[in-house]
Amino acid sequence: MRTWRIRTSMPWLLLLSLLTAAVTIRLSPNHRELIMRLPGADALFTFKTMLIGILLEALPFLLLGVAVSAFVQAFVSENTLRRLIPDHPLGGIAAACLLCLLFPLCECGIVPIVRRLMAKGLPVYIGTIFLLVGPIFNPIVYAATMTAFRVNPNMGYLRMGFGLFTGCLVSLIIYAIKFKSPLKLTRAQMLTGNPDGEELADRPLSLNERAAQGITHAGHEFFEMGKYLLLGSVLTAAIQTGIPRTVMAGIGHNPLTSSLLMMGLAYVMSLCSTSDAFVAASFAGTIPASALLAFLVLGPMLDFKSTLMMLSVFRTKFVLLLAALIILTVFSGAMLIHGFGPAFGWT
Amino acid sequence: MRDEKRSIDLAAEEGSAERRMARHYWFRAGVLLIYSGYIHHLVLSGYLFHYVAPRMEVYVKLASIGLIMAAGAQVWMALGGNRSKRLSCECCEPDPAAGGFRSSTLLYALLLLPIVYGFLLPNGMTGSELAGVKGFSLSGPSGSSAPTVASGNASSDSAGNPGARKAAQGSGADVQDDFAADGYNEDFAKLAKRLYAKSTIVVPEEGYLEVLRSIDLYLDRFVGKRLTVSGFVYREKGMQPNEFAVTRLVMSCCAADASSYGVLVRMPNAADLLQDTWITVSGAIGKGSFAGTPIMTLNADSVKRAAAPANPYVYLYAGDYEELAQ
Repeated sequence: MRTWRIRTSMPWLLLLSLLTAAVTIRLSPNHRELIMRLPGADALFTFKTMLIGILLEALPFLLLGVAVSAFVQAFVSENTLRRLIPDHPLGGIAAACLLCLLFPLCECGIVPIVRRLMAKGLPVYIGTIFLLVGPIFNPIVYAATMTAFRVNPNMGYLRMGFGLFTGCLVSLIIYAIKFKSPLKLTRAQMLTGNPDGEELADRPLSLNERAAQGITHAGHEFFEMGKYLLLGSVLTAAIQTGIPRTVMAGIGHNPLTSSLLMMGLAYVMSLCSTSDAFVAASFAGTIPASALLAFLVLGPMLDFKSTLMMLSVFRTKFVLLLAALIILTVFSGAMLIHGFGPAFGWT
Repeated sequence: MRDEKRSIDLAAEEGSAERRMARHYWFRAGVLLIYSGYIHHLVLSGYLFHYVAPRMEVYVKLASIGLIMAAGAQVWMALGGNRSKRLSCECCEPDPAAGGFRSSTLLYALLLLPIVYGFLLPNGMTGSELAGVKGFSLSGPSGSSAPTVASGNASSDSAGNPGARKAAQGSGADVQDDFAADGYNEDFAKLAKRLYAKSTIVVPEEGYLEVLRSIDLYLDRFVGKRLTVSGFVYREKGMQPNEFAVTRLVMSCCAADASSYGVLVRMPNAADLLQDTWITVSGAIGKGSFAGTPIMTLNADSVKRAAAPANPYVYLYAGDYEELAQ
């Protein structure tokens, strides 16, 4: 009984001691000088600036994603979903791509929504389209890419096309190998795990009940996703602090190695798809266009932050398969663009 | 074993478990409110620009409202009983501490880390610190402004990529007399034409990147023109004693994609100027090279100390380019 009480009060003790320490240091009149004297203060500053920047940028989109997911949970029934999605896989993929265009959502927001939709019976290959094409093929990312590559708009067209192609190809492969149950929890667990869940799902719920369900789900999901986003942001900020970008200046002209290096860079930097074009543009002129495209297409589909988030809801096997397919497609696509792009006047 | 034990505990002390869960929800609500409060603090104190660009600010402000609503949801869950029924599924455990004591403590420590950092450490970094970590590029024809292919396969793009061909010419020696445009960089060409008509080009704070880029694109035409630009002094390895860069920080979305962009200045007593000093430099535009790439140089004849602006960042210009050359 006694140990129980200590355990439950631990978070509060932790909070209290942290707050006391923070306030004490903060209130001392020369706290800037005090901090500057710490060993490695500049690394600490960089880390803090990166971490808060990444978090503040991702937070609005995570909130939006969780809100949409809660709405889907409460108000979109399995039957509605089945009616909306065409039966034929190609029709389904086309419809999903169109939806991506209409509802732009970045990688932080899309994971909870896809999980919810898959639990409601969305085919895995359609969910894959939302995961991969959604963060690239939308007007916001298109506009950002065009602004960053103002003098070379082909980069914008190629990014959209390459992203669409990669997403559709991976989706078709997943359809062909008939991958089932990518979710960590089975559909039955998600919808009817509760003894009276079946009953609840069948019986039409009142608006109040639906709203209550939505809010409860959103509250849980926000913390469930938020902790992975946070962990991803902390690690990303640490990586960005540890590897100054000047080190990466020597990536070079070789299309093979530069593509691979840029893909690795996109993965560890975990930039949002609306801002990565500007980072890519700062590499322009020093590395081949195909490597830049590999960076611009791989990053939004697969990065450190989103891998952690995907691992929290999808089975490891599915995440690994997805990662392998994306990497292979993007890499071979970049090689093809390098080889044949100039002949078509693309690059 | 542990799970079993816990389920027995739960069954035995239903009420105590309920209270424990409620405490977790209260705690979570508190954390969300602290986050929201931190955003308010950043907005009110005017420090938000260190972390996100102005175009993202509205989303961050909305997020702080969203956080308050999410905190409300947590309070509602803390107050309401019979949580497992309301969830009606097992995708979310009704028990917020289901992962066990250690994992929930870890989670809360992780949640509080950014906030503790946020309050403990002063906001902002000096320009040279950020430039050193996040990368630095010099204004020049093959800098961030130039198309990606200017170096590699300029010869093989005969199939028709006017953008690339144009820029390849721009960095080459033979530039046509007029500022020929091709529909893609028309804006830059028009801007360059308007800038060329001026006796002294003053690089503005708004549109800093765009003005420098349009000069870069037609650098050969601009050699010899007078230019005035403000920024902080930044030196990198490989620069001569008489060289430094007058630099601005650039951000597009958030601090993670920040970078820096500068013009290489050449002047006799450059060494007198310390890193991070804010200055306004005037001089004649020239062409030089740094680390093997062609760049724009500014042969300075006047250097004035300038007041450091509250916000060291410049952003991409969203407005009409016509107004930039005013």
